Amino acid sequence: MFRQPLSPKGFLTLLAIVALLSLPFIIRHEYWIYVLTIGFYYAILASTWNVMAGYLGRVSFAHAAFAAIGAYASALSVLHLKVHPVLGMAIGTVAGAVFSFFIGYLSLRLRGVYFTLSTLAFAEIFRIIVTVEYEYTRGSLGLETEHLIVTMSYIPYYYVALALLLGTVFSTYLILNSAFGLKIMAVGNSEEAAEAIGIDSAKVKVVTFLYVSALTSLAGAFYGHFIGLVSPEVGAFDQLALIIAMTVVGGMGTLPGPVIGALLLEFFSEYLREFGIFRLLIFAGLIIVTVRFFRRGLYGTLKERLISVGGSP
Amino acid sequence: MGVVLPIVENLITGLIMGSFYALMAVGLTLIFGVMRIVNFAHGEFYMLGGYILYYLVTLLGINNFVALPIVMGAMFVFGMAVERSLLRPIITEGLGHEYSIIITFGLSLFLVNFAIAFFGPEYKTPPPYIPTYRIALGPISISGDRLLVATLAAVILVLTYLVIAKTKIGLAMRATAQNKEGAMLCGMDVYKVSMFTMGLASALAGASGALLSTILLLEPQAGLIPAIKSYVVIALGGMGSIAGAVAGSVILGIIESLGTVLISAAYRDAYSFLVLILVLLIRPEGLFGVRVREV
Repeated sequence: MFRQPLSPKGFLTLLAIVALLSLPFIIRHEYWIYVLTIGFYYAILASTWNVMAGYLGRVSFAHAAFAAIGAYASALSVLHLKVHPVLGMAIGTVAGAVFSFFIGYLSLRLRGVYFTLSTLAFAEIFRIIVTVEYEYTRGSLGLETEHLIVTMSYIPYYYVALALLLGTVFSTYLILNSAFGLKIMAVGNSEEAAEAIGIDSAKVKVVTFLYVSALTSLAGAFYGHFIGLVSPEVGAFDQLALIIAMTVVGGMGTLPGPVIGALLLEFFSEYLREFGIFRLLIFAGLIIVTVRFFRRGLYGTLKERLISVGGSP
Repeated sequence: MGVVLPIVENLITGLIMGSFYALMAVGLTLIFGVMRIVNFAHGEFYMLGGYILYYLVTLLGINNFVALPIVMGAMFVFGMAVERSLLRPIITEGLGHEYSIIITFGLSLFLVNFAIAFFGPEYKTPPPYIPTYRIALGPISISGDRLLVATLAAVILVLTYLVIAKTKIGLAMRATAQNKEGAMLCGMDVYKVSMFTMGLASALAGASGALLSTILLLEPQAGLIPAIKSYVVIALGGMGSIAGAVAGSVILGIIESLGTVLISAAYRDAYSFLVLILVLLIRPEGLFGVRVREV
């Protein structure tokens, strides 16, 4: 099976996966299993946002909104079509993909900050519709929905979330290391240069946005059936802020960075729970300091240091 | 007459609201013109301006009209400090738009939560500039204090225009907006121009907050809606264009007021987003903007 000896990177990855798989047997505390499950949810959102911002070079402010689209589509289809939550999650994923195709097709031809502004507008319109159309969505009270698994323990959810996260990271790894991944990075570096060598940048952008948004909606749908409640909070600005903080602190433009950042900040956030109001203040401070002084984030900076100490790449 | 009267009244309200949007939007468009970035913390500059006025008036007992220039001065210094500490690498290291979006977004988040933690999350009402009274124009009645505050906003706008059109630093700003490298070659200090631009824009946003928060309510997230509206305005008017920002403000104020009467009030805040999307899709360079090709 191993045609070549396992690289240190591969070894560390394997170690991390084994550690995450065995954690529920080590930590017997349901509360921390719950925190980790939420952490995995954020890790998926941060990883997918990172593909847009860190590789394609497009900052989307509609990311949390796509999680909410998936969550609402799934919860509403479970409620009205009486389908099983698993099918609901599939419907949520498709809904995210369809919406992202239209939004991406319309707004991804805009450059840089114009794209960001249009995603902000789409996200806000979605939030206003959800809040105003009270009869369908129960407005800001939130829509109660069925749980994915009937169980007293969080452990089954832990493994579902972990599977979703591993699937996201692995598929992202495959895409980034394929010919299409090179196209993504080429467009991210310079759209003009990419066009000049014959890359259809519009297609690359729309397909990437579709992939990212479908996964985000799937994660959002899962989150809804995990908590049992879908509210406009899922797509709120705070959530977007959290996703950005996690990605930036962990290391934007690196594959493990967002996962590390999400788990770290989720733990941090639980420890800081008693400081409530200072939590987002600290996270905002972290975003500013990291972006200003450690642009490559925790993972990127550590990697750089290790390489410079080790002497060889 | 039954339908026309509310429409005329809302038209006037729209014009008054437009003058506040203009104060925010002109600052935003100046930043974009000179530095090629969108400041996502602009709404928080507005909010800070409101709080500084509130504390000057309630704690130190300073008159509103005296406090207003102090607010603008303080926010001018604050804006320059933000440029020097956070935005400088954009010029020195030639960083892309991801950096400017994320750092100003982080700053916005920081300031909102700073205000929640230290000023408190509850609503505050700064004392008005003059007591509330209404002016009757035949069958139409207008709020007099709103009209006064809108007039102050217009005076500040005219002064800003004079700074940009008639002073040396204004000339340097226009030159930098046209061609940064060219301006540098002519011996202009682009760092100083950027710093001044941030200071001026921040002072304008602060003035807008100091004026409008006496009419609307003041809270840590009070800047969010005015900021979003000013993004719409500068997209509508063409990013970087001052005349466009003023015209866009008036147009948006009117669209919103008429939409509220003629279509639905619940979706009031959604109209501006719809306008934003339509403008970006149909005419991304805005009504007054010039289509530029990037190389």
